[in-house]
Formats: sequence, structure tokens, C-alpha cells
Amino acid sequence: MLLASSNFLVPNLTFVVELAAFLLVLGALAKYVLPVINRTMEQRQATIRQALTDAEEAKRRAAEAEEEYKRAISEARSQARSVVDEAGRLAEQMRAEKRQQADQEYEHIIARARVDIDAQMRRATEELRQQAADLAISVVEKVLGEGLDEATHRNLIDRTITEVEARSRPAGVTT
Amino acid sequence: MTMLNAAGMLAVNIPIGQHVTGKLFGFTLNLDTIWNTVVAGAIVLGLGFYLRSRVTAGVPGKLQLFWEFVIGSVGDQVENSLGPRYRRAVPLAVTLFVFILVADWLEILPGLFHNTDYSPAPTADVNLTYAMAILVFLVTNAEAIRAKGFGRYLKHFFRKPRLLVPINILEELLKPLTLSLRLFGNLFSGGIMIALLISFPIAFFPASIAFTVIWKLFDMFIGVIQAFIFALLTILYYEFAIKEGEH
Repeated sequence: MLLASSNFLVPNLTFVVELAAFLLVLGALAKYVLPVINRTMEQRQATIRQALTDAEEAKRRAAEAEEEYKRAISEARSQARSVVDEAGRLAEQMRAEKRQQADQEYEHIIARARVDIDAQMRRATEELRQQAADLAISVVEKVLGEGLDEATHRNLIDRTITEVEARSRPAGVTT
Repeated sequence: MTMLNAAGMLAVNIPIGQHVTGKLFGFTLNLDTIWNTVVAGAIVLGLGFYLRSRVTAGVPGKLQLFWEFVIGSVGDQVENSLGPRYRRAVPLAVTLFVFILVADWLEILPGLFHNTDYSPAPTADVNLTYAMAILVFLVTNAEAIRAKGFGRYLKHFFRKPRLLVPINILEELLKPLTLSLRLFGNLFSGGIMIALLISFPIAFFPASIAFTVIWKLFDMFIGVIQAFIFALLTILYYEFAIKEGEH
């Protein structure tokens, strides 16, 4: 082993060996190692980018789905509301119709009752008049004795009753 | 041989610039530097090819994270200052960083040769730092000529004011010198510090051990910084080379 010392700032043949060694390392790394690492780095970046894109896409889809869901819900709500409104309207209409019907029926019944009452009143009046005539004849017979000819005096009596009726009733009302 | 009187009464003999040498065609070879360069190169290539065999696009391991961190940082730096066209500068800068880092860190290992306390980092020998700096010089100037054409490249040195023409030329020539001597000086002095701490008298043995450990840890930090600076300056020189004259 030769130990030697010289000016340590002056290079010697070692320089060439060192240069060659460094170039060798540089060449080997540049040709075989660095491209591979670069490629995997790019692949990983691509993977990450893809994952990010996918995530973005998934987020967008989720947002769309939510939007769609909200839209469906609000549509369903508005439909339900319109159904309820329609039902209310129908109910109101039916109620009005029923009321109208009832009113008509009421009028009808009233009218019929009035007709009935009139008829009965007329009949009662007629009966009353008959009875009054009979009563009057029988009274007159009792007063004058047996000499009253019913057929002869019936006219007279009827006329008398009619006059009485006309006097006792206000003018213009006929029943 | 330099005698260093380190601390007054502690006369210690610290070898400066001493190498295990051999001769080839009458020229001197620093065998220890070459051996440590081979070790550093083997470690770098070993780490690189080991990773290559198990590289994954999925979840990366620690080694892959380290490589990806270096390549990513250098790549970002290159793209930001040079633009995507100059991605070809990335392998050089990455190799410089990793290789210098490993070479620097060899200093924490015990040595094999005349010095058993530490392996002198190959970066503590100007032969390696000159080699790398001159390579950077050649590459950046070649890129400059390629980007501007030879005429504009030359004109750049002879731009006005004329008085500064020698300075311009000197500046360009000094770039590799400062680049190499900065790295060399830091690592070389780191080695001297270790030698100095180790050479404490036997009475200070525990302190010597403690300080050596602390210093070696600090030296590792310096190693990272220097590797980073070398790679960063390479990219900056690249940038100057292709952009000078544009403004």
C-alpha cells in the first residue's frame, strides 16, 4: 500500500476514473431506474386523478338523484294538494246541490200542504155551509111548523148563507 | 505531509490530502477515493435497481417514497425554472443529488485504509468534485449553445459594457470551480474534524467518542445540504445557460 500526499487541490488520473464512474451511475439510473419510477409516479397520479374524477361523477350523480327525489316529492305533494282541493270543491258542490234539493223539496212539501189545507178548508166550509143550511131549515121548520117546503126554500136559504158569508169575509179572498 | 498543531500541547498528526495511491501508466490514482466511489456507486445503483424490481403504482414503500420525493422535487424545480422542455435535466440533477448524498454519508462508516476512523468521502477528493462540476459545465454550456446557437452564445460573453467582458468569461469559468470546491471543502473539513476529534488523548476518550458521534451526525446533515446545493446549482446554471440573453 502506497501512501502518498500531494497538493490536494490538484487532480490526477483519478479524475478520469471518477468521471467515468459518475457517468456510469448517471447512465444506468437514467436508462433503467428513473424512467420506471417516473412511469409509476405518472400511473399513480393517473389513478388518483381517475379516482377523483369518479368521486366527482358519483357526487354529481348523487346530487342529481337528490334533485330528482326532491322534484318527485314536491310533485307528489302538489298532486296530493290538488286532489284534496278537488275533493273539497266536489264536497262543496254536493253540499250546495243537496241544500238546493232540500230547499226545493221543502217548497214542494209546503206547496202541497197548502193545497191540502185549502182543499180541506173548502170542504169544511162546504160541509159547514150544508150543516148551517140544514140547521137553519130545521130551525125555521120548528118555528113555522110543518109548512115549510124544503125544496121551495132551499134557494132562499142558500142565498142568505152566501150573503152572510160575503159579509163576514174580507173582500177579494176566495177559498 | 502537513503537520497540524491542533490544540497547542496536543500535537497531533492529521494527514491532509493523503491518499492510498497506485500508478497507472505513470499517473497517480487515489485508490481509496476510487474504492469509496465504487462503494457509493454500488449503493446508489443497488438502491435504484432494487426499487426497480419492486416498484409499484400502488402504495409506495419507504425507499420508493425517497426516490419519488427526490425525483418529484427535482422535477418540480426543473419545470418551474426551465420549463417542461428541459425535463432531460432531471436525471443529471437527481443522480448528482443521490450520488453526492451517499458519497457524503460514507464518511460516517469506519475506513478501510490508512484511516480506520472514517471512510473519507469520495466527495472529499477534488477528483470527483471536479469531474462532476466539469460535467455540469459542459452540459450547461452545450445546452446554451443548443438553445441560442453558437453565435449568440459567444455574443453573450461580449455583451456591453465591454469592460465587463473578462468578468463575464471569468464568471462562467469559475462556476465549476466554486461548485466543486464548495462540496470538496465541506466534506474535506468534515473529515478533518473527525480526525481531530479522534486524535484526542486517551484521557479524553469518552468525550472524543461523544463528540465524534455528534459530529458525524452533523456531518450527515452537511452531506444532505451539500448534495442539495450541488443539484440545485446545477439546475440554476442550466437556467442561466438557456435563459441568459433573453432578458
